[in-house]
Amino acid sequence: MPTEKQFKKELQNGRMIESTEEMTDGYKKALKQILIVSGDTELMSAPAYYDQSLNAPSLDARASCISVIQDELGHGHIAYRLLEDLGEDREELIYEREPHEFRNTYGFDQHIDNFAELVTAHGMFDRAGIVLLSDIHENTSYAPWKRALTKVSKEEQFHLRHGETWMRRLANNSEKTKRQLQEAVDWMFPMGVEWFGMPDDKKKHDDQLEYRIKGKSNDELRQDWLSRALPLMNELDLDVPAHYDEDSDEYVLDYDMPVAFDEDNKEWRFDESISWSDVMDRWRSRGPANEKYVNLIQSGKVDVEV
Amino acid sequence: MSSARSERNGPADTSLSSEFVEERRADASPFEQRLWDVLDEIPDPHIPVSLVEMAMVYDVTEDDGHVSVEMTFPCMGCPAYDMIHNDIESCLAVIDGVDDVDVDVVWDPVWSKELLTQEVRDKMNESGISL
Repeated sequence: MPTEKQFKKELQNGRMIESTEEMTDGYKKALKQILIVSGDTELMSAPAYYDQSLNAPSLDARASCISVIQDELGHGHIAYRLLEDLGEDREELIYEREPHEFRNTYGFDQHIDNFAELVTAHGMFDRAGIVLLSDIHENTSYAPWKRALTKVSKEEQFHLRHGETWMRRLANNSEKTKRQLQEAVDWMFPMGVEWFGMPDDKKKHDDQLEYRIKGKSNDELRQDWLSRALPLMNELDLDVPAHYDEDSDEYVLDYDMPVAFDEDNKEWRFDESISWSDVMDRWRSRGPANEKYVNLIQSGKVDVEV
Repeated sequence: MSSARSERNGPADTSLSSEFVEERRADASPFEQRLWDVLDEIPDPHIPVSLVEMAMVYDVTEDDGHVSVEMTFPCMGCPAYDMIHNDIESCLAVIDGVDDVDVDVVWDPVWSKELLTQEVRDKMNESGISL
């Protein structure tokens, strides 16, 4: 077995990994960590999307919404199945963890309260998923994950399109639906910005990058997301606290990230700067819908005797 | 549902193959061929092949600027029913010589995976979709 340092070098030179026998302990640990976040995020998006899918304004929309949920459960399954190859137990991961032990992104610990929020979640959060997963699909050194993501990427595109289509419809439908959309974007856009985590200059080292489990840094991924999300916001005439800066050829925020989030009212306090360690604490203590969503998944378990 | 079908049309045709669509396409006029080519560029929103590759387009006819697309869906509750209609209409409507587009969902013959070519099956397998 090579040293961690040698191994990282080989991976940077394009080495692909097929099985646990080829992994160093460090690699396995970093891979497990990102797969749990990925699997939990996919899984918890399903209950988050559930209530408002039943509130869809047409039968076609409802069929699309339900199909999105089915896809997300499938994507979660793929991640847990890959974790099984790394020695984890799928049953335990899904059914035997406490709500606070889930590692999904904080966005899916929030209540989604109307159809405008649901489609904005597709437009903002599924897009964040696409940015993260397409980087892994393209760049990861873990071959089984790369292969599995072909299907996932295509399906996430469908979710995004569904979200964008309905965001356009709501934006152009009436003042009321436009206002609901703006209110959804008000809390979901900054949630998407925060999704990509700590800025690069705050991060001392990143095992996931060094092992080439992913290929792009947090800031690069955040720029990717902004470069796709902002044009849509502009097209729909929705206000967001970010703009394109021609001089630096970058998308920049109009506030100092990170800032405090009022969970009860789903409001960002843009003038209340906090530290990244405060953000980590907020994430770790989980959000308001965490228990409800985990219970919804876990209560669906039926013991069947064959 | 299958019994109602068999009363009306006889038992489902199990001899369907990918040639069914290929023959319809080969039978098209040069202008209709162009329309087929355009439809063959429209991706299925959920599966990494085109609508024509998915064997969802059964026929394309054009009469004095009126275009009719005869098609079906692999399942009744297709989550992309709306999207696919929009895609077909908007991609064909912009072509010179097309005045209007009528999408006719026929459901008959019933779509089956037998309609897929081997090449398409391979593509689906590679992307992790089992048939």
